[in-house]
Amino acid sequence: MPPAINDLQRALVLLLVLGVFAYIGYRRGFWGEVLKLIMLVVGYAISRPELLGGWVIRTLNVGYFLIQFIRGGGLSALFAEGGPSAEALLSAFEATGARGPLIRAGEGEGLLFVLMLVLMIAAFAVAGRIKRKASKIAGLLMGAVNGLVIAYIFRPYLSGKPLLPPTAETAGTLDVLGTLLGAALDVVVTPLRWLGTAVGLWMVPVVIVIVVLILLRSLRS
Amino acid sequence: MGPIEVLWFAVVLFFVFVALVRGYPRELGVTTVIFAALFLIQFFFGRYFDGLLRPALDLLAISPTARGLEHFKATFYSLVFLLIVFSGYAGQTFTFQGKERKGTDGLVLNLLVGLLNGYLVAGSLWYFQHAFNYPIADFRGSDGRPLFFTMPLSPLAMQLVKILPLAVVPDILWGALLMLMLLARVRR
Repeated sequence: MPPAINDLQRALVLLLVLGVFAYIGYRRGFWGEVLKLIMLVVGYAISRPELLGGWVIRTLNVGYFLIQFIRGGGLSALFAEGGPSAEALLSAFEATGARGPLIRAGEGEGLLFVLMLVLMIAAFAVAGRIKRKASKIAGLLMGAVNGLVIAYIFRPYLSGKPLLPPTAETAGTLDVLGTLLGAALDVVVTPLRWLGTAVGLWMVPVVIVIVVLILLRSLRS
Repeated sequence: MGPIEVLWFAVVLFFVFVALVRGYPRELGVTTVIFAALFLIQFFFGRYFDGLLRPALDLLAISPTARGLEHFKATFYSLVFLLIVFSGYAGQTFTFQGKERKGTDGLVLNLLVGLLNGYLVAGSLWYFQHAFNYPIADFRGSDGRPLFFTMPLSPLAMQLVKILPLAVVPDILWGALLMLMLLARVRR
């Protein structure tokens, strides 16, 4: 696919995401969108091992070890009558160590991604319940910001990194989409071009005045 | 990013989305603010900005390169314009009184005002770039690719440049449109 069409698609997909989230923000209000933004940022940090992801994996592994230790008789050994039994404790530690960590190094990315998705879904569910009133335009802008954050989080999939191996059918669909979007741009600019060339540039201010007059006349008193 | 006309189109579409959710009585208030901004910029800045900037630079003992000056002017004009436009959306907005039409009529009117505002805002920002030889095209990513749009302009972009609002509308018309809007607002 030519790079220009690819860029066009990317720009329009981004725009669509921004538009949809801005609309949701407008309908749901500012504070719900603020909550969503916080959850999105936390979710993104959790999905990255170098940010919060590493800490989450370590915490899960520690919890898992603790459970294995208890199941291996560690607690009974600690609080046995007549004081802790060294042999029983050693056996519990050995049983725990033999199982290994729940999440091994390099295996946690999938889990972190799912955690991020769960947080996002929870944020969207809770945000809809917030009824505190605020400016709808602020909600719209915050919604657009959320759209931008989501587009950033999922940018590998917007920027051409395939989720599935490419197939002939996928490539065909994208070509058709690119052609349609290019045609939409042409539909918008063709009347302007026509005005500029066939009628003359002076016609543009006239069109602006006509549009303004139509809009002012359309306000019912 | 791709060609500048795609970016321009994206900004226009964004304003259309905003108009669809806000409705044309509110958006007409923003149109009034945009007319005021364009009148201010074209009428006053066009005449006096260079005359004021030169002594200010001398006073501060700053001697920028020609390209640096173009960067500064394009940024200054864009920021002033965006600040004024933003004021049309923030806080207590300048809304036109009257009942909004519903149904298809309302949809078409919302689309019209969205396209008008998008054309005015995106077109003016593009014009500030064009007037100062596209300073924003100097910004490139670590891979050397342009961050915002590719240069040189495509044939379509070269045609569109001719119909940008500040390129075709005389400054006095912005003033006249502003007066018209204010009169219409007061009359209601």
